[in-house]
Amino acid sequence: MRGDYLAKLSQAARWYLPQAEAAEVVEDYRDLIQQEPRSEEELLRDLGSPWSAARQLIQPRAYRRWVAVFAVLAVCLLPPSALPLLKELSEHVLFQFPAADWPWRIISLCGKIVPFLGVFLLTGAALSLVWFRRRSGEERHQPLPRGVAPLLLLLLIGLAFEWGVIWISLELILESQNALAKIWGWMTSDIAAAMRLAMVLTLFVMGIIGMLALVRARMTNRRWRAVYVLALAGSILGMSVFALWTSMDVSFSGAGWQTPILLRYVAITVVGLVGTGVSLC
Amino acid sequence: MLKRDLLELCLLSLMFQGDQYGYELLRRLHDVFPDVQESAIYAILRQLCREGATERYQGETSGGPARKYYRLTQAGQDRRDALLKAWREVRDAVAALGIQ
Repeated sequence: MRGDYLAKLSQAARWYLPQAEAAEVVEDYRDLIQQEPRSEEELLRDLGSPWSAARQLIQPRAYRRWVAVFAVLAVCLLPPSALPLLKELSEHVLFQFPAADWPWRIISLCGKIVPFLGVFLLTGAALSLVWFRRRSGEERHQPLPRGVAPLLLLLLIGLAFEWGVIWISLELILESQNALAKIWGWMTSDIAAAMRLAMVLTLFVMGIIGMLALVRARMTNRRWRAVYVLALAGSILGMSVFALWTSMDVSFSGAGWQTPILLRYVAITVVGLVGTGVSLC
Repeated sequence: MLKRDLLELCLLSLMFQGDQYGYELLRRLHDVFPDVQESAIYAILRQLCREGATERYQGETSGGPARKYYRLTQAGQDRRDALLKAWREVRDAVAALGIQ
């Protein structure tokens, strides 16, 4: 129970307090708990729950700063990962209830955030790198926290899927004769709809993984930020592709229009991969 | 005077008697105020430290692990005097109403 209590207290303290102070508090509680053997009920009675014990130590200014950073990081990640799914659901609702008002707002919002996707990516990646940076005195070569590697692999698979979709989309839009012949051979409206749904769900899962990583980066190990950065890049890339599908921009015409779009996708991917690599250090 | 101020006064007064081991401080206060959790007392102790009213240091022990001790600073003594004055005023005011 002692270990349990301390483990929970450590997580709670790291959520509410700056890292150095959280470590000090956990050390003090370890000392306190080791002084006399107490049952689970006695510990909870004398010390309160680990979360309430840590909450009492909040320094309002430092905690508000963390909450603000968390909010910014969440705002960078959540719209690109959740809005496509909400848009799909909204369109479904509109199909059933054409008079409904709120689905239009979501659909409109989905289009409005597209110009800011680059800002979301750079802000989220830079802020997470700076906020969860290595502190002085912290060991440089620590083992990777458990769970980071599998999630990074999962996100890389998601990223590869997005690039597959990009390739198919551009081939279809460009009406490349060679590829088109092959693609139209199997591409039916059902498959296209399934691909779209898979893309939307991939983005949503990336958003959940990214938020989980953000919380873990604060509460356990700062290197969870790598998962957040890759999830962010994956969400931004997916949202960009989603925006291309649903765009009614007539400037997409003429020779070579696809080059800037492809360059943007490459840039997002490079920023994501480089940011992930740096985050692992 | 709030209960928190009273706990603060007790902590500062205990340290006024001499340097105190952190665990003992918490236990002694918890024994006197059983309805107050040790975590609440610890939070007050940390805040006093942060505000410079007390400071902590690692004490020497024979054989066992190093213990953390707390001692009063000059700012802490001033704070204790102010709280003690406030406490006496409250006590006298209550006594003047015939409440013992």
